[in-house]
Amino acid sequence: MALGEGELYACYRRLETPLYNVLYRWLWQAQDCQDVIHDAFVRVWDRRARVDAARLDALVWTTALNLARNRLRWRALWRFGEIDPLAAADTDPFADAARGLQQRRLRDALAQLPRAMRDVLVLAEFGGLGNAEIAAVLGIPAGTVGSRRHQALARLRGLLKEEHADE
Amino acid sequence: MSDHDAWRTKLEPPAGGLARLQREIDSRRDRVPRVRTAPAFAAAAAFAALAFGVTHYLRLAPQRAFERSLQTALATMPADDAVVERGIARELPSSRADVRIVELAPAATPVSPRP
Repeated sequence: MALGEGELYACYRRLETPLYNVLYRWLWQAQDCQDVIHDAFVRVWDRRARVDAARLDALVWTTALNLARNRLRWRALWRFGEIDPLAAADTDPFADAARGLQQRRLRDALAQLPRAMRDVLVLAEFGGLGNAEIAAVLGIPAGTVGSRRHQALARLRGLLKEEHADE
Repeated sequence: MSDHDAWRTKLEPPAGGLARLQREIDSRRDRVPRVRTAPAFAAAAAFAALAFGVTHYLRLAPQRAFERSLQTALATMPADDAVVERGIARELPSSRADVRIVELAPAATPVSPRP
């Protein structure tokens, strides 16, 4: 059955925040995240005649992550991109600065993780996806997701602790 | 949330994303069908032309087979009044030199020699 507009918009409301949180930890640019989310939903809509509504969420996740990967490849932002101020939208400048610093630490720590670990960790921690959902989105076994997630979390905590101790 | 897990901060996406998507979908509503129906119309037209050609060919097939048989019979027929052994035709006397009169019969019905 073809996908309806109501289902698409409901999916957007459901996934916008988790998608944004995951994509921000990939792209580190709020406008890029918004664009990727928008483009992913438009692409899914263009294929609506062949979309199974039961697999809609997984399809949106996969499409958005592929678009984000393309964007990263294109501008090689992972190492050289700047964190934009949109993510730190507090009116308190001290809170803005603290949040910016925290995000920079996180970006540097994530950049040191192998990509396979990083993908699983970001989807789990910032997207709120379960192991089975991550397995479906990344096309890997659920057991692998569990072990990568555990290892990635331990390494990330270690890296963040090291950075904190260095300051 | 402890300092240890402060990196888990949840961010709120900028407002207006859904409205932007709705505007995009609305703008596509009119143009998407045109893009999709153009190839469908072309395919339908090609199919109709092919179907007409095949039907026309099959409808004329018996007539073409008959004409081929007749040409074969006439080609092998002697100039004078005679009976063709294959049994499809025999030539009858004609008063005009430029006119040949041929009596035809189905292949299953042998043509008997004139008495």
